[in-house]
Amino acid sequence: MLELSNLAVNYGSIIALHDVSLKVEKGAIVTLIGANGAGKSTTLRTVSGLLKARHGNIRYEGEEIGNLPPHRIVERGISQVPEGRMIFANLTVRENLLMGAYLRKDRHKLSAEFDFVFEIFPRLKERSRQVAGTLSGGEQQMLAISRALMSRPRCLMLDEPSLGIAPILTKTIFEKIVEINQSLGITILLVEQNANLALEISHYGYVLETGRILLHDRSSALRANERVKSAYLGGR
Amino acid sequence: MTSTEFFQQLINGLSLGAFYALIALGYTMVYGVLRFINFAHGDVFMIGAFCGYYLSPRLLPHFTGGLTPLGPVAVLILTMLICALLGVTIEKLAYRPLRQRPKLTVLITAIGVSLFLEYGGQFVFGADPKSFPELMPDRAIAGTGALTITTTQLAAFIVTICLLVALTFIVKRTRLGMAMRALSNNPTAAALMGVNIDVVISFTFAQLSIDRSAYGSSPRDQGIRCGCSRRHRKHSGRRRWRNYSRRCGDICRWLGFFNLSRRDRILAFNRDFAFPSSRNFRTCA
Repeated sequence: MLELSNLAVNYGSIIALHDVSLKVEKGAIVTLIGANGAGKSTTLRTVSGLLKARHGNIRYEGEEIGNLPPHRIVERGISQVPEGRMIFANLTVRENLLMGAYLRKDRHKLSAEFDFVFEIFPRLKERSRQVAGTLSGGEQQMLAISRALMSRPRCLMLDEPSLGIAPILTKTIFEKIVEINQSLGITILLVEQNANLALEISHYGYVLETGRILLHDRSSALRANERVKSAYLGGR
Repeated sequence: MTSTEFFQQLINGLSLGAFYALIALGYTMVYGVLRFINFAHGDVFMIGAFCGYYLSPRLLPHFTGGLTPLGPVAVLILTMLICALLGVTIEKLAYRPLRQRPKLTVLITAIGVSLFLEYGGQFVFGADPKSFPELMPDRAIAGTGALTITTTQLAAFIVTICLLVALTFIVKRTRLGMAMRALSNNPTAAALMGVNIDVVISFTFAQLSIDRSAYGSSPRDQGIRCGCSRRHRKHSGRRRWRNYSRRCGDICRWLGFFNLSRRDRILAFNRDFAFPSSRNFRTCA
């Protein structure tokens, strides 16, 4: 469904990605794990068009999307939940969700989408008139995910959904991610520092180190891999 | 102070304040969405005023009697379109290439654009003050007792209120307005939602250029001019000329006013507000 080949990205003169190739199969949860600064977020930001690759290709459903601006990429059905949530703090919860459906021309027929995200995250329904900046961290993450779902994506990319959230809520959010994948058939590309959790829910994993793919395998195999265990899983 | 005097000053203050509100609105809109102070703001006002100046003798005769409300409205709308186009062009040529640069770069560019328009204006329109053509008969409205309310005062006030209401509606209720608020909050996230940032920023510039031009071309009893001239000094004692860039400069100074020390603040206040007649010499010297 989504295929990156030999992707290289710079920030000015600093090389963030050397050579990244990865493949996300339709309907799968694929995770990208790695240490701080390995290039996980850069990879996602390049796919969603916020950064331009120096070379390499990004193909989505057989088409090259590497040169498209962000709004064209959302249009094609790829939606990103950015790192640190990036909700619109001074808009209400409802307006945030409407922003998620920004590209929908039929704004009056969005009740199905609203029902759908409120079913996954009922708490947002109670707070729909509240200003988003007053939500708790966990609720903001729920909002960020819901907002990304409002455009009815076929591929959802999540950047560090556990960042700054209470462990108990992290668990809930990861359960919801699995639910979104299974009941809606949305393909998921998950970037996560908490490698344990990420490998637990995903089907396939890539390990990124200083801008290169170090290894990739089925998630169950990665969890058993000695190198991964010692470096990322706090293994003994 | 008698109560008549009080209400008269209240009316004068409101009609002048309505103008200031429009300028301030444009400033805050750019600042709110893009986080930089657009120094060229006042110069687009100036262009708006000159559009009104050159358009009205050509347009007004086409409307019966030249003084029906339709004539001034046509001038206003055409001026708005021209200024909107100018605003979008400035954004595209001067500010857009610098979007990823530090804010200071854009700020300096804005000063450059301002100077370009000011001196370009002097070159094209000349530096002599021109008196603004009468768009509508300027007379006191009857039935207000001892108070004087002129038709131009009333018209200017109504135009301001209409624009404020329209702008509030756009920002609060429309899809594009929501995108503007989202963009000002977090440009990256807005892009990820599918907002075409270029389009929204262009729209912002068009919108506030419309405000500016409305201000520039709305009916008034004062003259317009472009930049400062020697000639202007002679007039300054007898007549008040409106210099748009300077008026915006006033607001800039107000923004910086509260950063000054107390002594400077008093001096600045005296200079700009308590003894306004001295101000003309200061900026023209």
